[in-house]
Amino acid sequence: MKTARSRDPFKVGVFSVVKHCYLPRAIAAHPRFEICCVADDDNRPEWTHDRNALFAGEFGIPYLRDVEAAIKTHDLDAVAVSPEAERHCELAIRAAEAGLHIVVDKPLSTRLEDCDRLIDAIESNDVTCLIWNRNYLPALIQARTALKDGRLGNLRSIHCDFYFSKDAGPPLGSRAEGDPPIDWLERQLDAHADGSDGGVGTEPMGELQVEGIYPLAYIRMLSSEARVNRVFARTTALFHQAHADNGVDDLASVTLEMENGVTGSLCIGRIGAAAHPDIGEIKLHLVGDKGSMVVSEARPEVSIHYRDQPDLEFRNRRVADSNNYLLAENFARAIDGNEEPILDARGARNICATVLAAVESGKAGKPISVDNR
Amino acid sequence: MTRLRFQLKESEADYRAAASRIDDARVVEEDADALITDEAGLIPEGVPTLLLGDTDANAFPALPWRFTPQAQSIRASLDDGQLGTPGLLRLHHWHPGAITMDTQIAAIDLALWLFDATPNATHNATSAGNRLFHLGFPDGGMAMIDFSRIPAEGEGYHSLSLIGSRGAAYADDHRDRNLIFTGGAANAELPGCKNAFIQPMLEDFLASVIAGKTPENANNDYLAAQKIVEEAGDTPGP
Repeated sequence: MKTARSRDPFKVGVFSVVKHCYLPRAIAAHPRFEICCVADDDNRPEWTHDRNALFAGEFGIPYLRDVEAAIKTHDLDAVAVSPEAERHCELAIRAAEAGLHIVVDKPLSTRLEDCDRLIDAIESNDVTCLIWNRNYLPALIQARTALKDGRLGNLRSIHCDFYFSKDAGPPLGSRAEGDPPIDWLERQLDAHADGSDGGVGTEPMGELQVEGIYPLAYIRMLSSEARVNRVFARTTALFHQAHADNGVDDLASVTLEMENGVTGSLCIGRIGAAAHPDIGEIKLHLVGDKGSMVVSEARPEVSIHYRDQPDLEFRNRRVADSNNYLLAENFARAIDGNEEPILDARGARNICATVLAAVESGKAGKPISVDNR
Repeated sequence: MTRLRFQLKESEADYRAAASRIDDARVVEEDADALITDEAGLIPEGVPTLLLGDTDANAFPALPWRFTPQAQSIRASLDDGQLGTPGLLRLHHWHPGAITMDTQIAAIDLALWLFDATPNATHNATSAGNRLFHLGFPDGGMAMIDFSRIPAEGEGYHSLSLIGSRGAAYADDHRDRNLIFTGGAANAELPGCKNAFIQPMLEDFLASVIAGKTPENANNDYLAAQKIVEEAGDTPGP
């Protein structure tokens, strides 16, 4: 179902666009939205301004080094928030307090107190907030439909493998004796060219923190938003020197003890380009009391092979993927008041709590309760 | 030539067929050099015995999941250094019947065998018809093994992947199934290879017999896996 195309498009400000720019691009591509400006704080480092200005230039819109001025002068309805993860909540809160609807890049945050401040701001200002996710991929829609139709019965267990096969800088063990540890931010800035800079920022972030929201959002959606009560996790840095040098994981496994007697698990890693011919092995296993289901998140695909094909080009290309469009559509409908965001701030906040509990469990070697709200 | 005798309550024809493919083995009815049985009470004194589905200090325990073509291939890649250090083993096993101790022990043994280590951390979670084992190994390796009792009659499902520091292996019924159309929804069926583990398991046993090995090490492996399963408590009901 489409949203009302006859209405004037929502005016959207892009509050920082410093890593992948898929989010503001998806919003810009949807007919219900019109991006009007890019804005960020003047005191940000020069590389931030460079990237913001580049995006603004491509779309022919102004770049303002003053967020409050953008809010005052552009008559905005909404914002697309896509700075470093550590600034997601801060910029989103300022937008909420100005009465603007928010679509924010993943992960929502690495700090629960920031998530809570954002939820408070959203609720007190009665605005909508969507956190970016992949829940509208065709295979996820298929899985959700099978559950909704009752073909699997009541869900009893759910498991997700989420392996991204991109490299992330020099391999583990490549640092020579006497060399300094890899600086996290420098490594992330270098990674911008190949799009593996999801953890850009001054705070090192492991794979659980950078990408964990995607599989946990699948599990949340498919389990009818069952909360994770307790986790047991194992975490390690097995592949990449940057992760080892900065004390964060690039491989993790998490047992999820969930509401309603559901058991779940997550295996996640940035396992290196040599370990998979495509973007990675991403699968879901669902067991209900009537039936069960194995889901390959990448399907449908087309396999393309040819002479002189670059080593790192994916051999299997995803097709019929309308995730970005459907997320933007969901955001528009949520602003209209016609449906809920498929992943709202409260849901993303509880995913953040699950991730933080898993990181803590990995360090402590014992199960940790999840601080849900 | 090693003379093998079989005394099995189940699947004896499959075991005999597998033995018939082994060059230096012959199936006999008496005067055997070695016995394959699934009854501990039949273990003869002084005759090396492979015991299926149980353990006895005087017999080699069968550890069948090590010998599936998938596990053998993954182990060979590990031994060749292609996968580097094993990091994360993921195993899903869905079965239309009860989740037996035997099945759980075979799966845990597979994990311990691939990591060549005993876990220093174990955690498990159970829900109706489901059990999850989560193992941590001293060098940072980890294994996540889940069993589900599935309600429908018919085939189960098996998936095994191993992420290593230099590469990864994926063995999955999902990708191995072929489609058969007979009207209505398509059926996805596996090629009939379910007994492919028997011959390499017998060959491994024969190698131990010929080398004059005692069952002690193999029994210790079995008991290590059994201990982890027993610590998880009763097998979950439907």
